Amino acid sequence: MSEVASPGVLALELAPDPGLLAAARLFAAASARLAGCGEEVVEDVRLAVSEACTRAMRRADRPSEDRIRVETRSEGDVLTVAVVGPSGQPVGDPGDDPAIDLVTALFPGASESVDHGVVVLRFSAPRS
Amino acid sequence: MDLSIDSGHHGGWRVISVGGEIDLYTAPALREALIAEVEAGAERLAVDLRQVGFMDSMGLGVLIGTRRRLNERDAAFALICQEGAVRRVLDVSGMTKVFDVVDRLEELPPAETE
Repeated sequence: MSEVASPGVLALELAPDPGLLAAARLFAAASARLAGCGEEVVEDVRLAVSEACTRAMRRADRPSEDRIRVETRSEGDVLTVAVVGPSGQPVGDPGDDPAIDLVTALFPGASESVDHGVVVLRFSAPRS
Repeated sequence: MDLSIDSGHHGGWRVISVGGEIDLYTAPALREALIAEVEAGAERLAVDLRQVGFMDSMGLGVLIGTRRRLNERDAAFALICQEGAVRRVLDVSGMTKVFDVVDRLEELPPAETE
């Protein structure tokens, strides 16, 4: 396989509008392909980003102010994806969230952290 | 991006054909359509997902809720889905063990004759 273009960071910022989820998925898939991920991984990245953004949108309680950021970073053999959103309102039972379940099923090393009113869900995908 | 939802019949089954992407934005429309079918008394309801390019856990939730409602009156529920993004979601979530999933309309179990 030919060398991928120079690694770097790509980012998309969006309002917590469910109508923008398709755009977030397009961005995630394009980022994964640019990083050289195989098509199966691209689809998993697309799904994981949709889940993470959905979770962030459901937490957002200030739709005119809150923003969700999707950032992808190519480093070495992996593409690291981070979805950053407001901590806002809790979404259901923290121990019973199908969105988190799906992300961790797809990417077992996925983690979620909360700091200063911001939630970051991060996972890494293999680059081919 | 809007969802397309069409209805028809095949071999004693009520078939709801869905097209597009199922997520937080479009799942409510699918939920409404399936609730309407359940409330109309469908005894055998199938959802054709072959034209769905993407589905996440919001779509799964709609399907699980539909299955629960149909189970309450012993009605049959099946999904028509081939290999691809939607099948991947069903596999990863373990839902292929919960739902009856077939590749084609013709594989839907025939309605039992009285």
